[in-house]
Amino acid sequence: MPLADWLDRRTGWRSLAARARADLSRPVPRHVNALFALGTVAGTFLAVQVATGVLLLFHYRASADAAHGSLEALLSEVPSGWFVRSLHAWGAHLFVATLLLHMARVFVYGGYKRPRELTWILGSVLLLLGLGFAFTGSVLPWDQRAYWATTVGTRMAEAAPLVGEELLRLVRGGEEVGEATLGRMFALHVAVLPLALLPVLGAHLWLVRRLGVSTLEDADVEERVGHARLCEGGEPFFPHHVLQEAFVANLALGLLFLLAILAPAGLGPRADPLETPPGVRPEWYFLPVYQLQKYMPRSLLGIEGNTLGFLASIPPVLLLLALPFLDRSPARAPSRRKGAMALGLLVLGLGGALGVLGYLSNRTVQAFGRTFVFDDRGFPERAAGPATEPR
Amino acid sequence: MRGGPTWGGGLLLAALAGGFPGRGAQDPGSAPASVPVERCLECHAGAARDVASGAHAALENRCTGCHGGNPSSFDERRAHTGKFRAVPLSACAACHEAEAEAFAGGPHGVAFETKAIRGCVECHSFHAVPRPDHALLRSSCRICHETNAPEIVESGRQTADDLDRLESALAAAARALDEAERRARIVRREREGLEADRLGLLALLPKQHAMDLEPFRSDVAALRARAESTGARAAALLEETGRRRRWAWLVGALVAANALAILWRRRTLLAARPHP
Repeated sequence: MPLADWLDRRTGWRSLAARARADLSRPVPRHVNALFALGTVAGTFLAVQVATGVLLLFHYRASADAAHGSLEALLSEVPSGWFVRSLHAWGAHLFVATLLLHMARVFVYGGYKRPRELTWILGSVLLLLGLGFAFTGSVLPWDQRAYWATTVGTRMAEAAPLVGEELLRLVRGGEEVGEATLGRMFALHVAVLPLALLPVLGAHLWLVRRLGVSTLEDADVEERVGHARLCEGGEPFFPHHVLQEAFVANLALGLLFLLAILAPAGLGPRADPLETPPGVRPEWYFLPVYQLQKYMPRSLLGIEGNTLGFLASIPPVLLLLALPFLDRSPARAPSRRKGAMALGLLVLGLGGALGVLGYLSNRTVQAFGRTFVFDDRGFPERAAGPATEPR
Repeated sequence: MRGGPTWGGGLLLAALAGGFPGRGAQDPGSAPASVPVERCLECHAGAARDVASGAHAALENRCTGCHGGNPSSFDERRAHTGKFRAVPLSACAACHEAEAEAFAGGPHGVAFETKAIRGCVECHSFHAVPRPDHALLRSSCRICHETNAPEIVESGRQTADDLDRLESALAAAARALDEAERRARIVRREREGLEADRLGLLALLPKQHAMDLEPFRSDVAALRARAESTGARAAALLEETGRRRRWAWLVGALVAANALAILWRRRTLLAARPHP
């Protein structure tokens, strides 16, 4: 092929490709299964977010006056506009969910242990960046839910000790959520966070390729025997394992497409700062932190409850980042890491319980033939008798 | 219907109402706002029952709102003094100004002036005033016009049919918009249009009292056309949303086919691989 030859003479791509082929054909450990494709699934969702985000940018107008109208036009006038937006909205949920599942898988298999501490830390940073994307993106529709969830969400910044008020003004761009807030969130969403994500993601993927998928052997055994030796007999990464990942990613994409088609993302009424809608709560991934604030005492040792809530949400983040250095034992098998597994289950249980309480708070739920009214803290206030037909 | 005052019952009512007004405590002719119970039903229990069964049941001042008088008095003469009126058009006009204006400008207004009819009550009845219903156009016209002007009876019937069809079109459009919105469709403009049509109907309804039914019917027809057009747009949105579900099946089939192809390819590769 003359063109390929012409390009090879100038770029040397053939030798690069040969090196890449040799690297990619290295075997993966034998225990690798479909669960190990969750990272690829997260990457697939991220690619969908980038592609649909760019398409949305063609139509979205980032101003308080025009944002809601531009989305209305996108949903009602632009061909397949509803589909692109639904993919983006559902993709955000699935991206965060997949990141959490991926991290849970790495945690259970002890994949964060040496020499992969940095891979874990970069992965944790990617999770935080993903949550940042989700928060900043949820403001952009500028409907009632977006406006008031942002009002509640940004108010958390006010609870930061010493610099709370300044931080709140910095996040909102003023005293209240408004035009400046939307501008900031938009800039963060489409420029700052992507720029921050690229190097972190690149380094994470490079480390994954460099160090390979962790084996089931203890960390010291892997270091002593060598990763390549332990992977002998495993199937090649390419094309065998890549096909397995493609299979799972294909199913995940199918799920995303079906959700986007069958439950398309709607658009609420335009943001109205004078009318607070009932039941304002953040997205599911922020519910545990949101709910945690409600259980703080009014004040403790002279520290205000809000500040306590803010401070209480910092240790989980630090725990996440410092996990490889806190759990330094070489053991990877869950049965020999009872302390770490118990801690993991505790975090999962607490997060799940807070999430459920946050979901139930200030709701009226009809179940088992009775009506349950849940208070702000998510506890049932009273059983209001037999369920009645909704009017 | 009218009997002697039941003083015991009146006193009990007054006591329950939280006070015992002394004789002459009230200025005859005025209806003090602080009196919560009208004593008219002491003598006019039947009329009060009729009012309670009609469209005016929820009014606080059910009797005095239309008739005036002094509702706190047990004395028949005093109770009927002051601004008391029997069945005046002005009583209806106090709340139904637009209807009364249209009525006065039409043929029924002339008939009322010449005392040939007794005003609104002629069609709407006295105390058991029915809730607004187009069926009245079918039943009331024939009371006077069945033999002398059957074309008026027919026109009334057709107008009632037109109004029923308009209301059905508005309700159908609202249902379709609700359903479209439930399926995440943007229907703000359609809703605004439908709301304008509803307000248009409310503004139009009083004009039927002028009894010039042909232009009224053409206005109703125009409103109905708009409501049906909104309903058709909502139906088109719903149909298009339904087509999406068919796309979902196609996507599902493609995903499944692709998954099978990937599995087959992987299986082939694994089978060709030498055992370690």
